[in-house]
Amino acid sequence: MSRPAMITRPGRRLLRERAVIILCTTALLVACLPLGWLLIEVFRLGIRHLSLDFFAAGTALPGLSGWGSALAGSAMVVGIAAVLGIPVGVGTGLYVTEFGSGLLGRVARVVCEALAGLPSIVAGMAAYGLIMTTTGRFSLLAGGAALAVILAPMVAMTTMAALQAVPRELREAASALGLGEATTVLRIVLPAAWPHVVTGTLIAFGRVAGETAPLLVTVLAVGGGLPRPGATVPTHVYAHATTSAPSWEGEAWAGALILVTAVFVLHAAAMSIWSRRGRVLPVRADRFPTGG
Amino acid sequence: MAETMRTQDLRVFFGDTEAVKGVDLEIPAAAVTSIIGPSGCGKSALIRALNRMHDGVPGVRVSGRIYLGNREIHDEGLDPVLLRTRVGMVFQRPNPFPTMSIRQNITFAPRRHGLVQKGEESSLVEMVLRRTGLWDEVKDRLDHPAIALSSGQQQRICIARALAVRPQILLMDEPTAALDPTATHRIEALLYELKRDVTIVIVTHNMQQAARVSDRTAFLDDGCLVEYEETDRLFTNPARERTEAYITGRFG
Repeated sequence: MSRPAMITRPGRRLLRERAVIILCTTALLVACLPLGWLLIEVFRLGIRHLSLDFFAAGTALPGLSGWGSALAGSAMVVGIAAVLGIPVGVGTGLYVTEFGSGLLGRVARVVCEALAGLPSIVAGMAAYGLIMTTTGRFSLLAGGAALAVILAPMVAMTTMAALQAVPRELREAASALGLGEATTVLRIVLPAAWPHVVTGTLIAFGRVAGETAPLLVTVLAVGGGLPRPGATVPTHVYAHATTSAPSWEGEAWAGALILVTAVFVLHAAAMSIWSRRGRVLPVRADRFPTGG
Repeated sequence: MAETMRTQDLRVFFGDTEAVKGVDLEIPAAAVTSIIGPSGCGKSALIRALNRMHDGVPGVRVSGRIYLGNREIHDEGLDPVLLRTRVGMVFQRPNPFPTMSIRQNITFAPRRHGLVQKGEESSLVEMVLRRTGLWDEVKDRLDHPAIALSSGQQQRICIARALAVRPQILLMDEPTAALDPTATHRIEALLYELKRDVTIVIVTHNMQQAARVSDRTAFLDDGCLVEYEETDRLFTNPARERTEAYITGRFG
């Protein structure tokens, strides 16, 4: 009944197809236009203040160190987060995916999922509570620990996804050669998943590098006497943006440009690793043996 | 050296479903035995029981006895991981280790098992690659990634890799199902050579393949062993009506 109608009247189908395309394009524009505008503005306003002096000299804001040291501070904070967060994250991901079929593994998975969505200020407060109440002062170490709390679950989630994407056939191949579980996981499965893990970790870096809230309560005190034991790019941007002097605002844009560039570079690195190494995983057309 | 295998009342359960329903099968040494039957008849479930691949898979239970030579493979004292160095397996789709070179794919397991000394690795690689007819094709790029090869070559790498731990039995679960006819032909020709010193059990849904490569053929249907005969006999003069119906294409 409906068949001849479809052959003779393609108009409706075409109309529907066109409508879907228009809707999707609109959604794309709504999503991308503000982002594009933001990037252009950051670039336009930030580039004016960027120069070698900008990094070398101190800042206009009294009581703060210069942008060069902020950049160095950011690198250190992210580095500390990496040293603390990556081994914990990869280890947790490995445990949950490969060995954690019991209660502990299930609990760990739920905890990771919850932590991955943790408001970042809470991570900062955790580091505040753990490290700063002990050492009694703001420090890059506390900031790094706060970022590690954010980084570790993200790395764990990415590791889990990466390991789960490794085809079962590979584990079977190893098993059929008489290789034990630990050897299989560490020498066969993890290397195959590694590009995926690295990509996800770089993207997570991009996120924590721009985190501000947890650093405000660990690295830098806002308001008050500014004990200033350390400086990072995000907290510098924050400090400059929240003052009223126009030249300081300009420096905030420059700081924002640095952050955006850093995130962009990390993503580009992630993508390039993915496109070169991500393909080592064989495509899995079906996950289950057929026949028999 | 090739070894015999024998199953006694072998049953495999997937949850409540009995996929293999009490199979008694005697697999002769130094020969090719093929297992044929329609999809879902329990071929894969059966062959995977022979090197205990079902171990640790949730919901799968195996009962009955399986002997490798005189040894029951579920014996307390027998390590299932080491069993698999005696009973190797090749799978439907080529699965070389993707981060390893051709050479590493072959030497990784023998090294872990202490089966090869440092200086002997090259000769082991050459030996198994020659046996799988790959030596001339890949000898100049042993350190290239194994996944850069064609799928037919990859499958032969997987066979070479399995042979490198010197198994007594080689199980092949539809080893040519994902390959083109030329690559399939090469592997079939290979089986003829290999069976001199390794017992081969091959699951296939391709009856012509079973007829071409195997000495004995087992026809499995709905988890039961319907007929087990010399291949020529089974294909030319099947004793059971059900076998005849299957091989003449009336079902399956």
